[in-house]
Amino acid sequence: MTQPQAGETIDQVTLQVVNNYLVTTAREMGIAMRNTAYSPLFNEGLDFSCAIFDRDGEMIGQAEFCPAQLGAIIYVVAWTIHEIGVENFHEGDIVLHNDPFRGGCHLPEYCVIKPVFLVDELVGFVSSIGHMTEVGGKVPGGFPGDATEVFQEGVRIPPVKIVDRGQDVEAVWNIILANVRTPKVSYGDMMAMIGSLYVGERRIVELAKKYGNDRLLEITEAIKDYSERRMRAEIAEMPDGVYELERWVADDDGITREPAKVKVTVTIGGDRMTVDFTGSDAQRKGPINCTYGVTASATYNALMHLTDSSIPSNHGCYRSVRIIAPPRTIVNVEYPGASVGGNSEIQPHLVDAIFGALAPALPDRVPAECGGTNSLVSFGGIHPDTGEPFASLVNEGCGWGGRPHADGNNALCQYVGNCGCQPVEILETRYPILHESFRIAEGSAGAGRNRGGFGSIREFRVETDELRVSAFVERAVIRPYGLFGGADGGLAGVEIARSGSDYAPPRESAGVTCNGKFSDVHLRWGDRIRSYCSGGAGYGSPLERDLGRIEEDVREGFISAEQAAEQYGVVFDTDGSIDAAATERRRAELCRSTA
Amino acid sequence: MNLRMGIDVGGTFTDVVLFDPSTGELRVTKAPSTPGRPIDGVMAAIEKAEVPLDAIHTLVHGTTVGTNALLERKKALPALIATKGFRDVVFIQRINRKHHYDLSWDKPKPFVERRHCFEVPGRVNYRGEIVTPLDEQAAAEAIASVRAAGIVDIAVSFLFSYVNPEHELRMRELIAELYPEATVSLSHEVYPRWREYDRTSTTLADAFLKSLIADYVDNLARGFSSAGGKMNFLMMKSNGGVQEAAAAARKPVDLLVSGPAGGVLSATFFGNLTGRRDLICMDMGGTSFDVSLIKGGEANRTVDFEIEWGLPVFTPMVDVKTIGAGGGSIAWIDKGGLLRVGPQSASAVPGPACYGKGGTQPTVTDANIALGRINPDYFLGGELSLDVDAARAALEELGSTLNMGVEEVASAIVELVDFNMVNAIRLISIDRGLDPREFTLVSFGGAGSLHAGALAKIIGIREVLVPIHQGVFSAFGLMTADMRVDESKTASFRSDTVELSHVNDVLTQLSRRAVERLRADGYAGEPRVEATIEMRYLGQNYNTEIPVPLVEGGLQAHELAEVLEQFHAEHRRRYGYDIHREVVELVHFNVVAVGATEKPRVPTLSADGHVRPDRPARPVYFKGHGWVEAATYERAALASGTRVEGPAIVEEPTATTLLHPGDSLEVDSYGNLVIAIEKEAS
Repeated sequence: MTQPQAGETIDQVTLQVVNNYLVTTAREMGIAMRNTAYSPLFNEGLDFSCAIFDRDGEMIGQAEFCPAQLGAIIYVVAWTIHEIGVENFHEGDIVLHNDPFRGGCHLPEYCVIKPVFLVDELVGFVSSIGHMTEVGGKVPGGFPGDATEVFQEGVRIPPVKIVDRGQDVEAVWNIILANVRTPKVSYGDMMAMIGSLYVGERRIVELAKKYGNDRLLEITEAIKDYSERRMRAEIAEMPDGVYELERWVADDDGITREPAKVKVTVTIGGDRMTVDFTGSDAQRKGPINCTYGVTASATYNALMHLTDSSIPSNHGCYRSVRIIAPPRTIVNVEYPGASVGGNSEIQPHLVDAIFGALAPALPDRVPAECGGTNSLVSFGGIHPDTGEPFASLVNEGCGWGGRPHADGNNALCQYVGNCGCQPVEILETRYPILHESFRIAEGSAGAGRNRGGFGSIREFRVETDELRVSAFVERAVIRPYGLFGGADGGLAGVEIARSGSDYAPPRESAGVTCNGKFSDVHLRWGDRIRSYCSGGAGYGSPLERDLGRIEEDVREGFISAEQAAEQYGVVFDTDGSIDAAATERRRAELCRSTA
Repeated sequence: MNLRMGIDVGGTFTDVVLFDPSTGELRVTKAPSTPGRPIDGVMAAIEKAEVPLDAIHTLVHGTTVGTNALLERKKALPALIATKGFRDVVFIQRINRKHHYDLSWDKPKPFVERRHCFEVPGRVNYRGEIVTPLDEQAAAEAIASVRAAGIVDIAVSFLFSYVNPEHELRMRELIAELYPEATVSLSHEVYPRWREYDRTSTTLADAFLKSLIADYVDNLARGFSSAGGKMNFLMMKSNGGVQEAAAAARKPVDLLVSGPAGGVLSATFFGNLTGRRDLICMDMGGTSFDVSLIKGGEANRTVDFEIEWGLPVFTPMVDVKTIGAGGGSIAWIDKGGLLRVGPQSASAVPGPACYGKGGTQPTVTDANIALGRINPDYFLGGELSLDVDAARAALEELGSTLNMGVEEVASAIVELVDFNMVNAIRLISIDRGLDPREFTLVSFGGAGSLHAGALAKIIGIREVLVPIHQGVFSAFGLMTADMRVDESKTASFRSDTVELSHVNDVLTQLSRRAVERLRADGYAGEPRVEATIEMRYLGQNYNTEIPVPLVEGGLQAHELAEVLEQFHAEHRRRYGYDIHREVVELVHFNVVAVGATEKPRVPTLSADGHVRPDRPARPVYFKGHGWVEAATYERAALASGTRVEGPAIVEEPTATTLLHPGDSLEVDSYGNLVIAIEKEAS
C-alpha cells in the first residue's frame, strides 16, 4: 500500500477546491447584499462588489462583480490595514472607508472591511464595496457634473470603525446619517453591505477550520502564484514592443467645454508589461479626474479582457504589470481635486485607449471602442405619495464595439462596470417618474465589417413639484473610435423638455455649460427627460460586411434602409429587397473613392 | 383492473413503470424514444408491458419536450404585443454580462424576433391607475400584423399588469374576436410579479410552448383513445405535481422541467418508504449531474430558472441544479498547467477512450476503469465491452505531462469531478443555510453510485441510499405524484397599516382558488392546503418567504405578529442582522393545494438470496490505500439483510456501486442499498 503523496496531486485538487470556495463565497456575499439592499442602484443595478483578502491584505477571491470596484478595492483594503494597523483589528470590528485620496476610486464608493479570526488568529479580511446612491454633498444622487472639489461630492470618510468588537459606534453612524438626504435608505444599504460581511466571515471561518490557518495561507499563496504564472504566460505570448496612443477621453469637464486627452505607452517585454500614462493632460478643475486606483484598475481591466478570462482573478494577476501615472494629471488626481466622474465615465476610455494602443499588436483580440458611457442621470426630491426624501442614480447600457469575429453586443454596461438594468416598474414604484419609452437606440451603432452594438434610449416624465437633476454623460460630443476602417459609434446624451416644449440639449433648455455634465437643474411636474446611450464603433470596413447580416439588421429594424444605403453602400430593389449586383458595383465604387 | 402507469419520455429511451394496486405488482419496460412521433415510442413501451390499454386507470406522463424545444428553438417563435414604447425590454434585458473580462460572450437572443414585436398605447401606473386608455384601434392593427405574419402564438405583456390586468384582459377579448385561431399568454397570468423583463421573458416562453404542448398532448390523447384507452391521462408539472393533460396547454410553462421532477419524486417516495425525511438527491449520468434537496419529506422548490444565462423563465418548479459532470467529462490541462475535468463531455460519440470508438481524451469513466472500479465486461449489463488498455493509454499520456503515473492521474480526475459535484451539493444546501451532514444522500443514474460514497465522505454525510429501480427512477416517480396547484398574489401590505381582515381575505381567496383549480384538474379527495407570505423590509426589493398558518376563521392579531417575528428571526439567521424597528412589507402571498394520490406498494425482498460474493474479487485502487482486493456482488442476487464491508463492489446492469474501505453496506427489506460512511479521520 502506498501513502498519499504530498505535492502535485493534492495541491492540484486543493488549489481548485479552495479557489472555487473563495469565488462562491464572494458570490454568496453578493447575493446577500442584493437581497437585503434598499436602493435600486444596489438591488437591481448591482453596483457593488465583494472580495476576500488574506491577512497581508492581498486579494485572494472575487466574483463577477464590477471590475472598477474590484480594481480599486485592493488599494482601499491595503490602505485601511496600513492606516489602522493590522494589530488594531479585533474580532467583530467593521471599518468603513470612502476617501478617494486614501486608495479609493471616487467618493460614492463606500467600502466596508471585516477582519476574520480563527480563535485569536487573524485569517484575513472580507470586504464589500458599493456605490451609495446618496452621499451628501452638493446634489441628491451624488453626481454633480460640475463639482470642483471633493467636498462638493459628498461626505469624506477616512478608514474608521463603525462597529467595534461587535458594538455599533453610534457617534460615527450618527454623523454619517446626519449628512445624507435619505438616512433610512442609506442605513438599509449600509446594513446590507455589513450583512454581506457576516455571510463571508461565516464561510471563511469554516474554510480556515478545515485547513488550519497556516495551511490555508500556503494554499492561497499557491493560488496567487498560479494566476501570476498564467498571466505571465499570456503576456509572453504578446509580441514585444512599445505601443503608443493619444486619445480624447473626455468631451469637456463640466466647467469648460475643452476636451481632455490621455497619452498611453504600453511596453511589452517578455512576460512583463508596463503601462505609462506620462504625457496625459494636467489635472482638470471639473470632476473628470481619475485617482491612481482608477487608472490602475483600468489597466488591469484592459489586460484581463485581452487575456484568458478563466484565469482566477486575484492579486497574482497584477504582479507582472507596472503602471506609471504622473501626479496632478487627469490620471492621478491630487487632493482636493474633483473625481466623481473619473471612475465611472472616464475609466472606460482609459481601457479603450490601452486596447487602441495594442490594436496593431493584437488585431485578433482588440475590439473597436465601446459606447463607453453609463449615461448617468441622478435626481432627487420629496416623493409626493409618501412625503419621504428620495435620491436615484439611473445607469444605462451602451453598445459595445465591433469585435474581430462578431458584432458588438447591444445595450450592455461598459467595461468597467457590470451593473444591471433598473426595471421601469421598480423605478416608477420607488420614484415619482413615469416612463414614455425605453427602447433600443436604432441606428446608433458604428458601421463596420462587424458593426458596433446599439445603445438604449429612455424617456420619462416628472411627476412631482420639484425634481433636482444632475448628469454625467460622456461621449456626448466625441464619438467612440472605429477600428481598422470601421465607422465611429453614435453619440450619447441627455435632453430636457420643459412642459409644453420640445426636447432640447441642456445648454439650451437649462442654461448649463456642458450638455453632458451639469448639476442641480430643477424640473417641474410634466417636464420630461430623455437620456440615450452611444452605440459601439465598427470593426473593419463597412463595405466588407456580409449582405445577409445587413439585410437582417434592416428587417429587424435596427437600421433603416437609408442607413444601409449610406453606411454600407447597399442598393435596394423597388420591392425593398437587396439588389446584389447593383450593391456590388456600388461598393466597389465606394472602395475606390475611399482609397 | 385499476392499473397506474408512469411514462417518462427521455432523449434516448421511453421508460414505462406499471403498478397494479390489487396485487402490488410492479412492471418495468423500456423502448427507444421516437422524437418525431413520441406516441410511437410510448405505445411500443406500453406494448412491452403486455397490458391492455383499457386496463389502465391512471397514466402519468413526464416529458422534456418543453425544455428541449426551448433549448433548441426548434419551432416558430411567438409574437409579442407590448405597451407602446417598451417592446425592446426583451432586447435590452439586464445589461450585465455573464463573466467580466470575456469579450467573446454574446448576449442571449430572446424568444421573439424584433419585427414580430408590436406596440399598443395604453398605460397603467404603479398604483394601478389607468394613465392612458387602451387604444383599441392600435390593438386591432397589432393583431392584424401578427396574423399577417402567420404567427399563432401571442404573448401579451403590458407594464404594471400585475397591479391592474384590465388592458391585458381586454387584449385577450380582442384577439379572440379578431384572430380566434391564435393562442394567447397574458403576462399577469403567467407570472404576476414586477420586473417587466422577467415577466415578459417568462410570458414569451409560455407562448412559445402553447401550441406545441397543446398538439403534443392532443396527439398522445388521441393515440391512447384510438387504441381503446379510457384512462385518466395526467401530465407531470415542474412543481412536482400532476394535472389533467387536457389542462396542460392552459399554462404550458408550468411543464418546463417535468422530466427531472420525476426523479425527485421517486427519491421522496423511497425516503418516505424507508423513514428518511431529509435527502439530497444526486443523478449522475454520462454528461450531467443533477442535484436536488428534500427537507422534511418535501422537495425544495424555486421559481427561478434560466434557459441560458440572462434568459429567465419564472415558474414554480422542483429545484434541480445541473452541472456538466458525468462519466463522459473530459480531463484536460489548462494553460497554467493545472489538471481540469469537464464541463466538456465526450458524449456517446466518440465517447470515453475505453469505448474504443475513437475517443483519445481521457474521461471520468476511463479513470474509473483504470482504477478497477468498473467491470469492463459488464458495462450496460455486458452490452458494451470496455477497452482497459485504451483507457490506460489515454491517462498515461495526460499523466506524463503532469509527471504523474496512471493511477495517480486517474485518482486526481476522480477527485476533481467529485469536488465539482460537491460544490453543486453545497449550492443547494450550505448556501441555503442547510447542513448537508444532516441529510441522506440518495444516488441514482448510471454513474452516481460509483461516486456517491466519496461525495458523502467529503461533505460529511453519514449515509448513502442507492434505491431499487434506479434505471427507471423518473418514470417510477411519476406514478407517485400528487396533484398540486400553486397560486400566488402580490399584495404589498405594510406591517404598520395592514388590516388583519385584508390578510385573511387574500389567504382565503387564494386557498379557494387553489382548491377550485385542483378540482378542475380532476381531484376529488380532501386536499392539503398550505400558505406562505414573502416579506421584506420596506425598501428592500427581494423577499424572505415565511410559512403562515391557515386557520379556521382567519389569523388572529397575535398570530400575524408571530409571523412577523419569524421574518425578523429568519433575516437575522441568513444575513446576520435584523432591523426590528423597520416597517415590514407583506409582498407576495402563496398558497399550495395538494391532492394526495394512492402510492404504489413496493414488495419486500425475501431473505433467502446469496450472502456470499458471487463474482470474482478484483483489485481496485483507492487513494491512500493503493490496490486492494474488493469483493464483488451481483445486486439482483442480494438478499434482504445482507451486510457487506468495504472495499467492495455491487454490480447491476445499469450501474456500479462502489464501497470504500471502512464503509459498510446493508440491503434493506426492499432491496435498497444503504451505505454507512466511515467518519473521516481528523
